[in-house]
Amino acid sequence: MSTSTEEPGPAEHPSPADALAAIDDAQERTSRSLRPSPLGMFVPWGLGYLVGFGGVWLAIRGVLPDAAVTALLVLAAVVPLVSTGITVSRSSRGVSGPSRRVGAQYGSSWLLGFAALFAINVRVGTLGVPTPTLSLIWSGSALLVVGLLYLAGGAIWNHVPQYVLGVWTLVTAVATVLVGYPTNFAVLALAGGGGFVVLGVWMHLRDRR
Amino acid sequence: MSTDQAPVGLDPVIHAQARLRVTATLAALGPDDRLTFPRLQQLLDMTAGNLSTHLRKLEEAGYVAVTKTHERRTPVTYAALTPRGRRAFEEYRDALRGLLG
Repeated sequence: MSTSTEEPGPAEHPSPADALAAIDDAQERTSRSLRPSPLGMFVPWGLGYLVGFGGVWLAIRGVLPDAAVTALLVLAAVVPLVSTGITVSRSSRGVSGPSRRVGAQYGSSWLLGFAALFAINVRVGTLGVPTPTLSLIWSGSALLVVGLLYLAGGAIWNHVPQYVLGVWTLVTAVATVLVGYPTNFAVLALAGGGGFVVLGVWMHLRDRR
Repeated sequence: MSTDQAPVGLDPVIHAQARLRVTATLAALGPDDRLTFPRLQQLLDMTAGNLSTHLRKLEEAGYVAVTKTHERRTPVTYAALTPRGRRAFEEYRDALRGLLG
């Protein structure tokens, strides 16, 4: 055991410039560690969108069998969900206090938002809406919920890239409705999924800097 | 030896390489947030003994609150900056900036 902790030598008292650098370094390292990695959240969801909705689009065009698409969709939802859970619990490990509650409430917002969305859209689906219209309602409204929650996340944690992701998601939501059925699935996969992957990797690189 | 003394105007409790890193790390948490000892140790890359020594000094100065509790029958130690510690840290940082002009 070094005795330098009890009897500070010259190295223990850094110059003001070194001290400021050490402060910046420690705080930067801490914020980065406490923020869930975009590679564990946004990128897996982007890949899920690409594979899942890309699969649906290919199935509608007769390229993929329906059974394969069902399997792809399950995979495309379960893998990102598990990855998000692991990523969030890893970053928040050992933290307790108000920020933990904020995170839990934000996580619940996703569950509540999608529960309400499912209830509304499933009910609308029973009213004899044509499939192409119902498909546009689903893609537009689901991306609206996702986009708003990304905007909220960006605002809560003062994280501009996540806010940008929210804006991009809202643009994609509108685009899916404008292009119509079944191209909305191509937009979901490429602009939605592709956008999440690109922005997720960008966030990762930006945080590394 | 003059190097043993913190320069005038710099809080001697914080102005040591290890303790300023501990303080800066805890100051990066949200207000009223606490960090477990192992997570703090991982963030700082310090040995348990070393971290304990510095936490004790910061605690004696009233800058850090260390709380021991049980979660699912496992003992857990939390460390957090006190309001006084946060103020001292901010004053220390301002003093550093002042020295650098």
